Amino acid sequence: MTTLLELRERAMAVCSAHENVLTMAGKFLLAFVSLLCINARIGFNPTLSSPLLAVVIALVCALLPTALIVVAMAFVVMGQMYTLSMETAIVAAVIFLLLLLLYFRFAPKDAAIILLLPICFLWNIPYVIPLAAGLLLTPASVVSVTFGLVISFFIQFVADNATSITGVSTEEIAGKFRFVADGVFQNQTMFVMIAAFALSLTVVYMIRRLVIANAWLIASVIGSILNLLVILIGDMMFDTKVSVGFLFLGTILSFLIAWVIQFFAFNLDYSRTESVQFEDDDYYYYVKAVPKVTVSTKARTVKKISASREIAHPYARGRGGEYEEYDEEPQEYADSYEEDYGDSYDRRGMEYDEVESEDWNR
Amino acid sequence: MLNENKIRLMTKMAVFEKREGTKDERMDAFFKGDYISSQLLRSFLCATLSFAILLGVYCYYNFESLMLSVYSMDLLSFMGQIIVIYVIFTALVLAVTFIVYAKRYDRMRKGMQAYYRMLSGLSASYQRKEES
Repeated sequence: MTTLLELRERAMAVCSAHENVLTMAGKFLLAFVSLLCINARIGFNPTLSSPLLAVVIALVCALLPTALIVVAMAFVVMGQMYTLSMETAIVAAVIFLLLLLLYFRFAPKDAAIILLLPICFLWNIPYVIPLAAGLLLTPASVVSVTFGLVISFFIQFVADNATSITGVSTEEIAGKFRFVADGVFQNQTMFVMIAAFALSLTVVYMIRRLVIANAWLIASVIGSILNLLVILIGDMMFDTKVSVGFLFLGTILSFLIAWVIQFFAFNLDYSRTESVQFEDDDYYYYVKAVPKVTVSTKARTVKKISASREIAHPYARGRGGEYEEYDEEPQEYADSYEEDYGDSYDRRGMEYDEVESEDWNR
Repeated sequence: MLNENKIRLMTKMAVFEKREGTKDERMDAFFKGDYISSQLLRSFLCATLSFAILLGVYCYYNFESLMLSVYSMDLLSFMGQIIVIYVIFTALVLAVTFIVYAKRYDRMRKGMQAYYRMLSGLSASYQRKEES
């Protein structure tokens, strides 16, 4: 455990020292993996699906705020869907517009959830999102989790039904549009997931704020179980055809990831390294303010275990009764003690006590 | 000679200015009522636009049935229903806006008060320097 704690301290120190570079690298990775996921699922446009373009877009995204990365991804998704059919692109545009107008106005910082959810879905660990959001954010994140789920299921639906979408008769006005909208918004699995994630996130948030020991861990455990239960009940009620094996595996993996998150985030100092410039009458200051990180140094205790008896060393006198190992035989030491101090080793202190008691008697 | 206490204070202030300062200063330029009103106005526009999009989607989705029943339906009651839904939707968005931005304004005031305390501390250190 101590090694893990030291590892955490070291990781935090490295993060605060190279915060700018790491943030940009993180954004690049997030955008690049998101693009790869999008292209893998709905890569209908060969130009947009090019890996080189993905690298270029991800590089640009590394310099943008997270909310703008979502906007960039939205354009890529709409571009890919437009290649398939205009109606699909319209549904995508409506979802993203509502997201921007109604939610990002209030909480643009939650944007990462929208990007992470589809990625986690692809890796079968979406259950980590409500746990992580409950541990690190507020219940308001339910909205971004809901939008993230809608987008994930939308992408999944379009990927699974690409041929059906192109095959739908265009004679009926808005036929394709209705097919896509029905496919997304009449998906029972999506609503069960939204209910499970919303409940799990809120409960995790409430428990981790309680003043109890291991609140974060308990919150993760209860959140995972609740998530599992709601999805299973939803599956029984609406026949959502959830793979129970994958559900259990995904939940366990998600819990483990949530545990790692809570280990690194619990009690984390959120203040970051700042480089600031200012001046007074005499100087210009270029200051790099680094938040203090308490690096736990190992408290080394050397414990000697040997057969020799523990006896007082002459030099230990007057050192608060400190004792240390002494290699000489006890008798040899007692002799040397007598030579050095002129009194018997066995009687040391006794006379003092006697004198003292005599003094008192006087 | 460098005055370390002054540098510490100035660094704290510069970090605050860099992180929250610009946003908070913009907020601080308004009275609470004015600030919340301006945000409510923006939210009203966003809510109206969102509702228009949703209404458009609804009409497009039900295009054929609407076209078939447009002559037989009671247009006034239909419009009335839409207006009621619009009012409820907008009121909800405005209520959320009010709560969120009132909280943000109060938080900003606290931050700015701490900043002003640091500022007066700095000005006191200048005065001490002049006197000595």
